[in-house]
Amino acid sequence: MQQQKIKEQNFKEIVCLDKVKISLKERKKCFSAVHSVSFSLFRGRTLGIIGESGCGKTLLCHALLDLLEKDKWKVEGNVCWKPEFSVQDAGIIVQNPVSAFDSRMKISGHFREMAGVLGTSHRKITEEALSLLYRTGIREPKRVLESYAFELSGGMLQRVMIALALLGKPKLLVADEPTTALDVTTQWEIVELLNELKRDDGIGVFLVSHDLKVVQSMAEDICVMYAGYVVEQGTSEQVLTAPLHPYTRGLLASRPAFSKTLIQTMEGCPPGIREVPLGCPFAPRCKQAKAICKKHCPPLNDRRKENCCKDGCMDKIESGYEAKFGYGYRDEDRGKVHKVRCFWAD
Amino acid sequence: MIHRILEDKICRFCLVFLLIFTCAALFAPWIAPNDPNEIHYTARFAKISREFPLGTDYMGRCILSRLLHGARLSLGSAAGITIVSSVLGTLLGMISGYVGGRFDRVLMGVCDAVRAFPGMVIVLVSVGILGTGLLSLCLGMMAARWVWYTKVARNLTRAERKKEVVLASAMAGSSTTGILFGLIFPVIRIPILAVATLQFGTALTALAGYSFLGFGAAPPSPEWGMMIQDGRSFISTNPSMLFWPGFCILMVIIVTNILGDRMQEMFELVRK
Amino acid sequence: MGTGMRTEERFIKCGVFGQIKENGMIQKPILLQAKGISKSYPLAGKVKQGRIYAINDLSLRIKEGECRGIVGESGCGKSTLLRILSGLEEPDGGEVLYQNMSVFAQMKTRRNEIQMVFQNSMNAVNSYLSAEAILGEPLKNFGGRKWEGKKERREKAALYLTRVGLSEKDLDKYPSQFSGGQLQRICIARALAAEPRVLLLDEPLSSLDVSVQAQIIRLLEKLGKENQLTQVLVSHDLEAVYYLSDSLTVMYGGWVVEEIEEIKLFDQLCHPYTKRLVQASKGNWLRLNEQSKMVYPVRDEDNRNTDEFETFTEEKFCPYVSLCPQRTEICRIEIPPLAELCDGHWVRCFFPVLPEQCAKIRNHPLRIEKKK
Repeated sequence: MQQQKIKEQNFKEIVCLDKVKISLKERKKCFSAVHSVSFSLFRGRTLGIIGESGCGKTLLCHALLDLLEKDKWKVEGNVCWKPEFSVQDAGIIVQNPVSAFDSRMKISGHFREMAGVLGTSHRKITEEALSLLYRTGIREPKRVLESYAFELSGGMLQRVMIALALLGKPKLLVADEPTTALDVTTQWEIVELLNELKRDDGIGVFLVSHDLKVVQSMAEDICVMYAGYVVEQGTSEQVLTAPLHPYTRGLLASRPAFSKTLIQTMEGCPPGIREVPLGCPFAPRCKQAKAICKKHCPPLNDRRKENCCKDGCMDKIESGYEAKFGYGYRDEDRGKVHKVRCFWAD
Repeated sequence: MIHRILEDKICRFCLVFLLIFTCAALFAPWIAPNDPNEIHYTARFAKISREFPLGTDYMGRCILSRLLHGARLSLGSAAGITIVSSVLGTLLGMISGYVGGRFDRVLMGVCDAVRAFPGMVIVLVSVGILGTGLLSLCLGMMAARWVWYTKVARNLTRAERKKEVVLASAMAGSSTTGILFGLIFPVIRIPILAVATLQFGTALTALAGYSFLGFGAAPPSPEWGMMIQDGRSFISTNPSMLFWPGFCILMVIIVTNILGDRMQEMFELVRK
Repeated sequence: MGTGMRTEERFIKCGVFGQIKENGMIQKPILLQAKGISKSYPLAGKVKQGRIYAINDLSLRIKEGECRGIVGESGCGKSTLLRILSGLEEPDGGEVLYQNMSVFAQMKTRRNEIQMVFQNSMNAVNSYLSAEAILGEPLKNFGGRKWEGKKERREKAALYLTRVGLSEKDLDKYPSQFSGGQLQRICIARALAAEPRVLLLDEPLSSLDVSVQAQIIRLLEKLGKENQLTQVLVSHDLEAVYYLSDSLTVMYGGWVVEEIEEIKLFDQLCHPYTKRLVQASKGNWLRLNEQSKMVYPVRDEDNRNTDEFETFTEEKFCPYVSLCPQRTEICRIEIPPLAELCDGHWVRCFFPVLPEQCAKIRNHPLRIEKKK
């Protein structure tokens, strides 16, 4: 009975981003940091965003939670929370657990602060904190509550942070590089914990990471971002086993993966927010780039659709498909659509 | 960092103010309307007039001229004390922080010992041995003050020493002196400057205080503390004799304090 | 013969009965050697007075021309080890020998021969200097008369820049104009400009993007081959270390827990911590391929987080005891010795899960259980 209930709750759409554009406002010019990103987040499912520094993934997290400073960033497009959900249903886990805690405050103080925000009584909060800490795999929650942040290790603090996020009973966890600052073995434990939460509580996870392995072991759906553009979007199997975009391929080939065979490298480095080139953002580093790539930015198209590369058809493409396949509008589409932003993807 | 200080409005205002005082002190012989020690018996306690812009004192000496000439003495010796003690203290502190070990421990012990005495005791000893006079007073104050810079410089250097830049520079074969002046000094100079600015103000007050008590300059010289001492007897009848030197000291101290605080604040901001 | 002696010494150091190796596997001469070094720092700010033992009785032999990988978690003493190896710090006990002489004494005159590349390139360069000045520092200090002229120095600096894949045009740029990867290249170029024989790399990849990491890996690989450089690569990234290095040392809590002198023995690694590390670095890939359940020693319930409250006193037990799935009573009482399982494979564990290929089991102190 309960099982069924969980199942029903699962895979409900929580929030949908519709052509979200974020740009950096400066005195004279506006720099586009995130270009027209659309996706949906579901309960009990993980969407992973893969990208290198400066590709706009953290911005996206903040835009989702409405945390961006209004006078610095301009957000266009819609972040539509589905009727039964709201921003309050989201929790966030940040990259560096050590700097996220106030070292002058005990861990219990952080919980109390959170309780103040949520409006729960103090006595209740301690009980709740103890059970949540236990839940996140801390076996001595009392001791942890009474210690300061600098007395705990990174992995432990990340657990505490997750417990803090769980305090608000979130339906969605936004995890911004949750494992980057941790040791390999601890990374694994945190990934397991997040997976557990997803499975048991039906929490949706929005995972942002540059670590392919972490994304791979958690996410069902993956977006690959480069310089503010989504360059590939699809299910985990599609993107990681049969990547279409040269950037995704390059990323996958650039890890040695425990062999001594020569690794492939992509020359150059990802562009900063102010120097994103005209046309395809990846063109300067792409081995297959042709003249048209430098002139026009290819649309994010379904793989099955014919990618047109003659100059004449550009307008048609721009207006055509991009809107149609905003990812995840219908569950049935899942697995069928594999979108890629490249003229030459086969 | 320096240009940031120059860009800041408050700092700029303070610096301009200090510059005016410094110029006044430097060009005193040319600006001053009268000889500071010339006595006008006919014009004792004169009111503000064209001849005596700020009036005269009980011996009929021009207050403005005395103030200007006194600025040379007061500001000059305060600056001298600050410069000598800051250079000495910073050097010792940097070496102590960088080298560490036994030298560091001994030097810090000495610093703590010096700081344990009130500054006044050290000045009294110095004056007692060398006799009263501005020079022995200044020497005593230097001996009491260098420790403050040493502590600051040493702690900052210790924090800086562990940084990768320093290690990398040592790896690239740079000598200790090269690292100290090329890498560490540029970082610590701003907080040292802030401390020095604050200390300049306190040195000025202390100097005036000691002169007031009679340890400093000999009577005819127009040192500001001396002027206050002279004016003390006429506080009820002729307060302007006391007011002007007091006002000058007050202004300089306020300005240096604001400047010092501001610089420290800015350094904290940069560090964060 | 010389190597044989050293092996024996090492046995004795470890408390294992020594036996001179008949046919030493090692042909290449040993360039850099640590002999039972230890280092501890006073523990400040805690109620209990104590010391953190960053490195305990560590012996290491780095052969000429090889790339030695050192892996371990943060706080396991890797960076301290590198600083000691480079001669920047002196160990509390034991000694580091460079060409059979103490490294600390030699580094005043032969500083250029051991160079280091730091983790975060942004912190490792003076941001007020141009690339030319950064590269000029070692050239000026070590070049002697040769690079006295400014023009010659500039040419030389340009040469090193091209060797690390940057162009001559970059000479006049300042650190803020470079990206992280380019700056790391400059740091490598600066180390190379000193013409070192040993290059110590302290997490050279961890502050970089994935695609840039691959470039630096390739660069290090190329440089190692071209210059016959002896490299010591410290990292927590087992994948990259496996790719680059010829031999591997695994550290945990200040101790060497496992060491292989040739990377081909990688599959035989058998210390419980190493196994866990390998599986964590590799494991996730298994799941995707939908292979059967992972072999993964999960921490048992009660002990899942005991490590977090670890007290850093002088340990009289196995460093990994609190997390080890196979621990027994003896692990709590004694520190297991670093024992040689097979040729060139050393483990610090009483009960290693023996690899099947391991034919010879030598001198293992006690209680080997055959597990399947």
